[in-house]
Amino acid sequence: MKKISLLLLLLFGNSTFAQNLTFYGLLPSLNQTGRINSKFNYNLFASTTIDAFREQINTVVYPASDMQLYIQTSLIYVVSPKLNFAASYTYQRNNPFNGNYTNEHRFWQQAIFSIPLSNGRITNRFRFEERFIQNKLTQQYPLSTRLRYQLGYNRPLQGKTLDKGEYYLNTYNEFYFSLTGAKNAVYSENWSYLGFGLDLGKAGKIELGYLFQTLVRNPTKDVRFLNLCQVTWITNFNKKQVKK
Amino acid sequence: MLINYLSDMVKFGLIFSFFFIGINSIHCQESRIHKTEVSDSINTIIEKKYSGYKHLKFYSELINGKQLIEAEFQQNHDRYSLLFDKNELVEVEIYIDFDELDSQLKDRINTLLNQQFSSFKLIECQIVNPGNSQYYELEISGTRSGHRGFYEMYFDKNGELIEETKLTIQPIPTQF
Repeated sequence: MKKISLLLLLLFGNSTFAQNLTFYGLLPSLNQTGRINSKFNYNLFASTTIDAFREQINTVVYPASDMQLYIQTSLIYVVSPKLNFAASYTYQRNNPFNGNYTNEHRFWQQAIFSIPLSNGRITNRFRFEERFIQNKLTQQYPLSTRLRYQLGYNRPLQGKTLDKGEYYLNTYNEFYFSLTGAKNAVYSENWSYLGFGLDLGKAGKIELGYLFQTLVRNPTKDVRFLNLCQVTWITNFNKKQVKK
Repeated sequence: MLINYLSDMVKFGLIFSFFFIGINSIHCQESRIHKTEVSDSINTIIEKKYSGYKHLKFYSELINGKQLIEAEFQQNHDRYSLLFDKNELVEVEIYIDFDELDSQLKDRINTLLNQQFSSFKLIECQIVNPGNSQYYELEISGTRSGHRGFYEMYFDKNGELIEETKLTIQPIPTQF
């Protein structure tokens, strides 16, 4: 009996004592891409993550609040339809409207390799980040680095190409590995996304999806789950001639 | 963690499925259609001319205000794309290996491409409308004046350049 009790404790002990947190919210975002010349494009991406519901977990109250403001500017070098490189400066502000906010300045470099599959394409995105996260106690911005790998798939849902009035599917999973600097775990974060979009023609695309974020929130490996309904308006100032 | 994850995925998946099932009025310029939606005449043309075809797919396309039917299939390792206006076959495209072309034609096209580009790579080659009005469509990745670009180039039966279009390559879309 003792042995069975020990086994049960090992199997379920983590979930019994873990201080895992689960939140539900919204993530409105804007994604704007434009052509600079035949090789370079720019991208602006802005979002805010809203925890939509007040939660009380054990004795702690978590009020509904804006959790994060995210502004990303990037320069994309288009090598071929299958290979792109990009570099970015990104500003992130956690708890932007609270006194306990923290700022982050981030630089990243990435490569995306895409493989056609059926009527869609698989994308492999590798991103290396240099993060300067504000330490409120010291008011310094120590450097930490992170590697991200995103495996995605997107495809039009009606025919081979996406035209006005047609729907498409976009899905990905992204693995986050904290390499140097302050971290709670090496495999520190995971994002899964499933979205459906509609091509609005000149007005761009509108995409609605479910984003599930998992984050290791402390050194004892407690986890924060974030369930988000993401709405993205995607615009592109260069829609003249598109090669699939 | 895995159970939480799956449970949340299923919950939200169901919500979104209901949302999208509700939207069923779809306007589109190109859409996949079933074989049964295509006229018998079109099916007969394909059966007669391209017997032994595999992986036949039909698409309804709106081109310059005209509703056309596109049929795509494979026959003897060649990929075909046929375009029908009502029941009339108006365009045939066959994807082939460039090496399958006549050696003189190949040499002529290679010479022209070498004149046009400091270096180039052939991505795809198609014969369009095999027969009297036959021409060739080539997709090229080439470097011109130090700049690499992607082009669609059209050649006649003698290998003379008829037209070229520079393709604009969109960046691969991602978020965050």
